[in-house]
Amino acid sequence: MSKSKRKKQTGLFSSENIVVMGVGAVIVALVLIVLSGGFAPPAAVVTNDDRALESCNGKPCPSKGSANAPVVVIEFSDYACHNCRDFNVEKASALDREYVETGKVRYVSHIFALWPESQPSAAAAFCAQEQSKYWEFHQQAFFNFQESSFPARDDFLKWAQLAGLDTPAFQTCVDSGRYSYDAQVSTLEGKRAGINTTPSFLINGKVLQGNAPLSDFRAAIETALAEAQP
Amino acid sequence: MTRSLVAPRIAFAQIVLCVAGVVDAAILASFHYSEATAEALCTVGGCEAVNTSPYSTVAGIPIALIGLGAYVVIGALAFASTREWAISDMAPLLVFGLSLVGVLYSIYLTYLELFVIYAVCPWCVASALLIAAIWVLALVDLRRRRRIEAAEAESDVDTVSLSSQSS
Repeated sequence: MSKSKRKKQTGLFSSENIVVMGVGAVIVALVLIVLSGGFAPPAAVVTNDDRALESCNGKPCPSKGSANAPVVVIEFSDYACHNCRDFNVEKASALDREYVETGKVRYVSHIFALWPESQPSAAAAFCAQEQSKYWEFHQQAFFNFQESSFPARDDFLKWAQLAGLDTPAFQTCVDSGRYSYDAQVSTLEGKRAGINTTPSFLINGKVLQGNAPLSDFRAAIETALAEAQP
Repeated sequence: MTRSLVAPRIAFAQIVLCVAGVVDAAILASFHYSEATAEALCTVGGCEAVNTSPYSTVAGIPIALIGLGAYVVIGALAFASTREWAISDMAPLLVFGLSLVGVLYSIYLTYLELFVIYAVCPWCVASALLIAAIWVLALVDLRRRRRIEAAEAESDVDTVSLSSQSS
């Protein structure tokens, strides 16, 4: 190796040229990243006017109650979430009686999977909705909750049977995977809106997180009812 | 630049990877426009979710189309590096720089998939691996060219010193 080589390489492929190209590449990449929206997650923006989350990938999400109810409650639950089980087993029926059946609240369930492992159960929920038996399925899912594992196909079939679904048709639907895509997008819709824990509720656009005491639900709904008064 | 600096095997590998990248990016671009294609070609992961997310465009242009263009340009430059055209000398450096942009941007997109969009798209992962492979090959190519360039410079010095001694 000559002394001139040891001193410095000066040709086209010199260290300087490679470093300049590398720095230029980093700058271009940073510009692209900034133009793409940077690193911040999209803001959780859900307002009273935003009805988008009442649909699940363009299909109406399962809902119950009067279409003209002044308050809309949107639930985001995951079938592997024990807080969701606790809410649905302990509180959902009381809220139904007090607000849904009295026409004050329209209750929507935005089909959602907090964890990737729960995507199949969210897809199965779409299959139940196909037979207009979503709420029965939803209830059975939480009444037959298992702490130790993510629900799987056998669990869905059991819930469907208990909920009175046409089990062969449901099984065909689950096995076809035809709602897996809807489940993914429906989940993404919730996550884009800032839903990052379950259960979460939007009460006329205001977020209530977790398995809160029933009094908190009542207070939030009463506030929304008061605000909805003309 | 002499033909001795040409590394056709590396360039050929880069061109093959770019062709795969073009196909991959075309499929990803189709997801941006067609739900049916996404359902048919992406049975695992969240391709459509990723490719219709708010992050899937830059200044209104789908990222997949930008990626497609980048693979075409990088592939063309890799091919140019095997010829003796005006741009041939610079081509390996440009392949290195452009593929580095691609690698850095792919890292950013993978971050978005994992921590912001919460959906991973296998075709996007494939694209990230392709551009990373192209960049690694570009590094290997540059290293090789540096060695050859240094050897040629040394032989030029020797030739000059020999000729000066003889005169």
